[in-house]
Parts: sequence; structure tokens; C-alpha cells
Amino acid sequence: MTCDELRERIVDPASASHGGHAPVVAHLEECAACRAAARDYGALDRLVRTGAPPTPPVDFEAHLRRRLSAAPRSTFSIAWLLAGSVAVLALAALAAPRLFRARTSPGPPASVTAGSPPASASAPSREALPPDIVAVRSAPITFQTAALGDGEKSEAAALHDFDFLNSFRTLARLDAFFPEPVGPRAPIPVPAAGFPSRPPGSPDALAGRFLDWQRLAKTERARLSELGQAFRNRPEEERSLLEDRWILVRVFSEDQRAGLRRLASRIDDLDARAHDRLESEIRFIGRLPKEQRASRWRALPFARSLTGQESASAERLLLSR
Amino acid sequence: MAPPRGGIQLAPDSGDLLLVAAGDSAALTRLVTRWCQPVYAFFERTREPSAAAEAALVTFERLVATSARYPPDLPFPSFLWRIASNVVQEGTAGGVLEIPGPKLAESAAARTALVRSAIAALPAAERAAFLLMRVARLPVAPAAEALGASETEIRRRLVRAFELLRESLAPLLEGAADSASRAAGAEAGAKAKGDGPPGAAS
Repeated sequence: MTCDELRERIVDPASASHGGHAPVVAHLEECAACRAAARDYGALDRLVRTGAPPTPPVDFEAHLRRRLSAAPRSTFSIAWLLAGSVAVLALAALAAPRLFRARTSPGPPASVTAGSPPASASAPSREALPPDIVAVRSAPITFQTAALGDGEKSEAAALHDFDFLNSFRTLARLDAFFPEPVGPRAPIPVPAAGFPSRPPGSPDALAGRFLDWQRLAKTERARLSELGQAFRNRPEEERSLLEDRWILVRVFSEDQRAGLRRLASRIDDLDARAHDRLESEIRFIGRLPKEQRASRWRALPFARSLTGQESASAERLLLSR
Repeated sequence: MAPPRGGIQLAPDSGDLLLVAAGDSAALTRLVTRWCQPVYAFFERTREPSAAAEAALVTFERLVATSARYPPDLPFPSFLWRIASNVVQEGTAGGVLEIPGPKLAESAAARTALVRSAIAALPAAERAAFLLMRVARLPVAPAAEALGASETEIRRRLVRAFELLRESLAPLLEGAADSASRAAGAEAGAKAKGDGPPGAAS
């Protein structure tokens, strides 16, 4: 038994017992490295399971239902609105004759307005089945009734990651922070699984995309579609370069990405000469060992003029290369 | 519940998911009641609580959205964990936190944060395999089914995950070794006698 085989057996309780323990014991007796691994695996297991089982928020289901109803808002809420209205009408239909009888009880039946059905005819008896319409209240709730049209689906499915679309122009403006400027250069190698910004590829990812798309306002959908088109209009090599840059930036927080957007605007505001000088300084910093980059960046007069968020975002970008 | 037309008695979860596909609100409540905690715990080992709740919500949203495509012959847990695994693999691998040793020693929160960041930093495939088998506690066969990989491949991923975690969580493992007060000789002997795998022990 090799070390690899042993470790595959000890991580899987079921397989560890197949074929008996003798080979496992024999290997462990001989191999100090595997003994240490077995001890560490056990300690890791305990670390991962330390503490009380985590409990989800108490309003988890309510939150889920709000999200589900928000997605197909047009139909889910309308369905409830209709059901509610119908229920009110049904109650009104039941109650009206009684009210009417109560008000007219002192008078003779003949006092009912001509053309109206007599109260006794419209009032349901206690034994009668309730009007069908009341049953609407117990109709099943539909969570996914607002199906997107085929056109909308294909539009949503073709778009890159929304966060990426919101960021790629910023990434193009921050050339100096990346090793290669945007432009015709050697092709960027595409990762085996494709760039993480690529449009959804699996059925589940597509389902998630459609849900996201349904939640968006029309104006937001139009904006993202425009961004998608603008991205597709860029030359192939630029697209790869920007997607490659996104691999670094996608792990940034929302605040840090906002910091990058503002940083790009601050750089754009510089005059041409100051802009070029700053770019060379940033490129120089990018070539320094990582431990020197932050201090050199902070020492730049330009960096001192930035807000904390802008400067910290730039610093993280410099350190992520 | 009445048996379905094929005469096969569906497990409650499978039946409820089909009802959810048909728009049954109560069935969704039952599924959430039964599965909310394990799904939340699955994510809570890689991110802080609010982000874990968000990931769990996304999982249930997708479960509802794809419920109409649920094949009743597929065990419900495989279907659910496949969705959860996709969500957890979509998360980007960040870096492992660097926390000073004294802080780790004194603060349980710091230790939890380090463990979370280390698991989150695993490559996506290893992260999913580790969480399914060590947090959701799936046997290897359903884990393989959920991840669409062979059982051998799942074991390999799990070993890789453990090896990466050994490195990134070394400060905690050293602490654990210290507190284990060097009963190491006896422990090694016990392990060698086949006390079973670490997962089976806990």
C-alpha cells in the first residue's frame, strides 16, 4: 500500500474498512509521515466540527419567501392580490344579504327593490356548500409563474458575470496596476474551466441567472445588456485581458471595487503629464517585492491625496499581483 | 401522502419537492424546516454567518426554481447537495487569514475565522468535496453523485483538501498537538491498531 492509497482510505470511513485494517496498520507502523498525517486529519476533523451546530437565522423562511415572491413579482403578488380581492368579494357576497335583511326586516318583503333577487334566494343556507369562489384562498401558491420569454432568457444567458460587467471599464482604466496594458498583445491563456466571468454554463448557473434577471428592474436589465454589448464589441485580446484582470479583482469587496472606480476617476482627472508620471511610478512599484509595495505606494504624493478607501483599494490591487 | 402513480413510495423530501414544483407552499415550509440547518451549516464553515445565510437562501431559491426538473428517482439529498455544491464552488477562493499566534490562543472567534478562511481558500473542487464529506457528512457515494465525479476522484480531492488544510491551519494543529500533551507515542500505537479513520472517530 502506498502513502496515497493509505490516505485515501483513512479519509473515507467506509473505504477504510474494506480489505481489512491489516495493510493500514502495517503501513502506519512503517511510515512516520502517514502517522503524522492521520493525526493531523483527525485534529482537522475536530477543528471543523468544533462548537455547537450553527443555527440559521430565525427568519430564514420568511426571507426566502420574500425573495421568491420578489422574483416573479408581477404574478406572485398579483395572485395574492387577486386571491385577497376575491376573498373580500366572497365575504361581501355572504354578508350583504344578512345586512340587507337586517336593515329591511321591519318592512315587508315586497319592499325589496325591483330587479334585485329576493334576499331569501341569494342568502346561502347553513347547509349549502360555500360558493366556489371562496376556495380560491386555498389555491396553491405559485413561485415560478413569471417565466421569462425566450428572447429575455437568451439575452440573460449570454451576459457575463454582472459584477464583471459593472467593473470591466474600470479595469481597462487602471492599466498601470496590471502587468500588461490593454491593447494588442500576446494572447492571454484561457484557464481550463474558462474565465470565471464567463456567461453561465451549467443548468443551475442558468437557473440562478434567470432568477437574478427576473429580479432586476427593466432599466437595470437594459443597462447590463448595454454593458454586455460594449464588452463584446471590444477586440478579442482585450476581452481576454480584462477577464484575466477580473480574476484578481473579483475577490475584492463591494467597497474596494467602489474604491477602484473612484481611483480610476481620480487618475483620469490628472493632466497628461502627471498621468504619465504616475503610471510609471505605479509600474515601478508593481515590480518591487511585495513587502515594499505598500510603503512605496503610500509615499506617493498622489496616494496621499486619496481617501482611505481609494488608497486601500489601490494597495490591495498592487499586492494582489 | 398517496403513493405516486408508478407505485413507488417517494421519500418525504422527494414528494415535497414535487409538491413545491406544483406550487404547494406548505411543502416548501417542510423542506426548509428539515434542510435549512444542514445547508446553512455547510456554508457557515466557509464564511461569516450573514454570508452563509445568503448562500443558503440562494441554494433554496435554486431548489425551488429547478424543482420542476427534479427527477423523482434521484435521491433528494443528491439533488439538494448538488445545488449547494455549485453555490459553494462559485464562491471565489480568497486568501487564508494571517492571525498572530497569541491572538489565536486567546480567541475562539479568531480560530473560527482562520478555519473558515482556510476552507474557503481551498480550490473549488476540493472545497466542495471537503464540505460535503466532512461538514454535511455525506458518504463518498452520494458526495460523488452530487459532484458528478467518481468515488476515487472524490477521495483524492478530499486528501488534497486535508493536505492543504494541514498547511494553512498548521498554527492550530500545533496548538492542538501541544494540548494533547504528547501522548503521541500511545496515540500512534492506537492508530496503528486500526482504531479507524479520523472521520469515523468523531
